[in-house]
Amino acid sequence: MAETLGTFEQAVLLAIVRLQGDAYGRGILSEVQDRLNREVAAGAVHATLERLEARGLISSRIGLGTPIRDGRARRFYRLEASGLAALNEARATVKSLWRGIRWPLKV
Amino acid sequence: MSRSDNSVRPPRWAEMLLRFVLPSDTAETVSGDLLEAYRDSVYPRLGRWRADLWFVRQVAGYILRIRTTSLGNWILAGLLLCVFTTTFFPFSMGLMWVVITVYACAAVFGTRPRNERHAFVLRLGQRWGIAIGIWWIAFCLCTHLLIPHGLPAGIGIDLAFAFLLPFASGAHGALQTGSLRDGVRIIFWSGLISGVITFLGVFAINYVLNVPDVLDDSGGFLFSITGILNLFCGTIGSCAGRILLERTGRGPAEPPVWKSRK
Repeated sequence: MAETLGTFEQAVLLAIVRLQGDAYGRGILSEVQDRLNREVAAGAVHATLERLEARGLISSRIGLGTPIRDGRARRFYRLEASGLAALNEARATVKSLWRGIRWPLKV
Repeated sequence: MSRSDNSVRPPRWAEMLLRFVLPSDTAETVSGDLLEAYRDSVYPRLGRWRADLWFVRQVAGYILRIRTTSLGNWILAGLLLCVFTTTFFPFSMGLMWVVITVYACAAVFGTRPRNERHAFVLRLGQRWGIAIGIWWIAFCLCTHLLIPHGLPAGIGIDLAFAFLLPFASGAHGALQTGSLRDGVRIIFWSGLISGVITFLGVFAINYVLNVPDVLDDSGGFLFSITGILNLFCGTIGSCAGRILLERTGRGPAEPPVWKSRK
């Protein structure tokens, strides 16, 4: 059985999937904010990335900086096979929960 | 105003604080991410004052989520609390100030793991420090609270453990790492941590339960002596551990032990 994922973890993982090779801290933060449609603390995204990496769902490498960040290095993230499996399972679980229920719900 | 002006900067003190609280390997990437967001979208959208406020809020968020660098920050917080306690008790602070200054410097400059070996030394020192600290608090509770007039054999047991625990931590450290120097480093950290825990714990017992004579004007002495005694006995323990390794011809427990403990 794959890892259980929370909603925010799924948002971060899906941001990495969408950004593909350009998934670094700042990009992931913007993507998560856009998708969740709310302000998100950079620390929350960073802590989630650390946790997902510790669980082996993603991996990271250090890349070059750019002038806008004063040349400071960027950490690029990549989805691992276990992360992909966890996302697939999360999606399957949600689909299974909603099966047979008409959406949107009405009173 | 251009969309991203590379000359604008967030508050320098907030940047410095961020770099201080984060481990060195993540400080650069994280501060870069925040700087990029600040210049690229936040500053043009919100203006100087609110952008600075946003940056400070982000830094505060990181501080609240500290995990990997928490040891140094916890020690500093503990030391601050120790100083704060002097407003309640008239300690003789002479030696205590020296010890607090040394400990604070160690917390600031020595708690960021430089490599796996250093991280292992810090972890082991932390574990022993917490264990010794809890032991002393429990001991104080038993001898001063449960038996109000003190246990006649209390001083003997007190002294025995004051030597035994640091000795055991030193010996264990040397046996685990196979290095006398690392054994002494482990003792230093365990002495520091146990000193702070013991001082604050005993102070709390005194203050909350109003137990007389647990922490009197010898508080500063108690604080200082825990670290010094720990260092002294632990060094002997480290030597014993190292000699034992030499005599038995064995290497460290799981050579190289620090690689297998993440």
